[in-house]
Amino acid sequence: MSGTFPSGWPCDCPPDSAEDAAGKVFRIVKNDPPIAKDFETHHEAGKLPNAPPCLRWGVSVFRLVDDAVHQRALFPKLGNRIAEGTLQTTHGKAMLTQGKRPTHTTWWPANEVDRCASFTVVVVL
Amino acid sequence: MDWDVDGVTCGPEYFGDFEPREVLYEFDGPRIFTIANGAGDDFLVYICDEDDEHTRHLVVPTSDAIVKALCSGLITVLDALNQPWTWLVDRAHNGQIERARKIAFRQMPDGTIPLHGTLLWPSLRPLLSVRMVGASIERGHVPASVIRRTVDGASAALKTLAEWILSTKTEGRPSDFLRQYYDLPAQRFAFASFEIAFAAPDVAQQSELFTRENESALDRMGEIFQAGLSWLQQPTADLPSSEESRVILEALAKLTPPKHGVVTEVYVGGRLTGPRELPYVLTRGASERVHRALRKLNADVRPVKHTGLIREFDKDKLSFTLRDPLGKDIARCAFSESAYDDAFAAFENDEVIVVLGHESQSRQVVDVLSIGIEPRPVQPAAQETASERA
Repeated sequence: MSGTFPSGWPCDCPPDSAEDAAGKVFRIVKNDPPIAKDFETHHEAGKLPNAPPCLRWGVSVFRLVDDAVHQRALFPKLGNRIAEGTLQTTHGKAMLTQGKRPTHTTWWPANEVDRCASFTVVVVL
Repeated sequence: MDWDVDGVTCGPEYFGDFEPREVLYEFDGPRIFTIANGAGDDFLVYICDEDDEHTRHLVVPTSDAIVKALCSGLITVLDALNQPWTWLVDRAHNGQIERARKIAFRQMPDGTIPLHGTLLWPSLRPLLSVRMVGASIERGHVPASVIRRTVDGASAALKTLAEWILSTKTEGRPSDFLRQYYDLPAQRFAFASFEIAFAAPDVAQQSELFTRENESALDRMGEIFQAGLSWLQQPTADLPSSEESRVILEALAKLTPPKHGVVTEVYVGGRLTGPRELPYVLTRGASERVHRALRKLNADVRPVKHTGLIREFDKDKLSFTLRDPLGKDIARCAFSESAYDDAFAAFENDEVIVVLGHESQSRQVVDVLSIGIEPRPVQPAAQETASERA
């Protein structure tokens, strides 16, 4: 079971095509150990109010550490640590939203999930 | 934000509605994208920093040609951003432009722009990039010898790795099967220093099976190459005494800078070097260490001179068997691409040739240095004239 999601989310969010979260994912973070701010959604940070509503409730992650290493080379200000987490069905829903990057995944965390607790810093750049 | 750049203030209206026309990189929202203003000017936008209140954008003029080159990996993100006109634009998270100023790109602090050599997407990462660095190598002043060394060094290193990895898998392959792993398409050139990035073999026309095999071979080439590069980073580490170590060292020897000349450092990056943010830096010290280790491993190698006929020629493995006129084997010889025509002509015309090379006792192979025509008739090996040590 993927848990429950905040009541204020747009309808059809997470989308039907999203699957139960599962498997290893990676994300650049600024803190070690990671803190809640490292996993803020755009909605929580008040960013991009005109972006697609459902995506604003998701957290972007990569399926491959290589993609996170590349992202850090592209945007050095994002942080110098890569955190790895293993998602399980209780963590919410996830969907590949790759575009040109085959492992880019949007993760919609379930209500009760402590996001940073599932992540550990595995690379310091 | 803990940094700022002074510039000439300009009005926010110049950038139009700032709505992305084409999103080129998206992660937690668009991070690299194009916009257009009311006058029809196109801009490339890069998010260089953000805090709780603002997002800071680097904005530069762009064109369809630049975007196309960026998306195909012909130029780096830094190349696309480094334009004569540059603006820094701070927007509130509600999208409102709160501050815009014209700056010079060189004012951007380290750590706020992409690292050298970074391409737009990971999938564009070259298989191997080799950058020659030296005090006198700069744009407009790249000696031909440096260009030749970059191309020859990279090709020779890749060939060494590919031959080892594919050594048991080339039977029945077309004659250019091995070549595709070292005669690679040049993806990108850079001339501040001198750099060539080589793309992976083009498998677009190949079957799915070949594509899988190809990926597997490249992964294994990368594994042993990374083992060598990792060894170079650990000054006290030793490589095991094995044929694979010899292959690794020979590949590294092709890429390390020479003891003299204008090249003092070589930066090696790309997919074959593993998931790294920065390239490996090979110094002259690394060169000395590689050659010392190679001499130790090649203790059984000695110079030889053989005379005979090429009776068996392997186009795939670039090798031939040298025999005397009675058909007795003299030596198994491996040659380079540059010696192909001479070797094949001697094979086709049944010419008696003289081979100079280095023979490894353990491998029982002669690495050919040169092939020449022997004018005099050859006697059978039994009379001890067909083969002589140099």
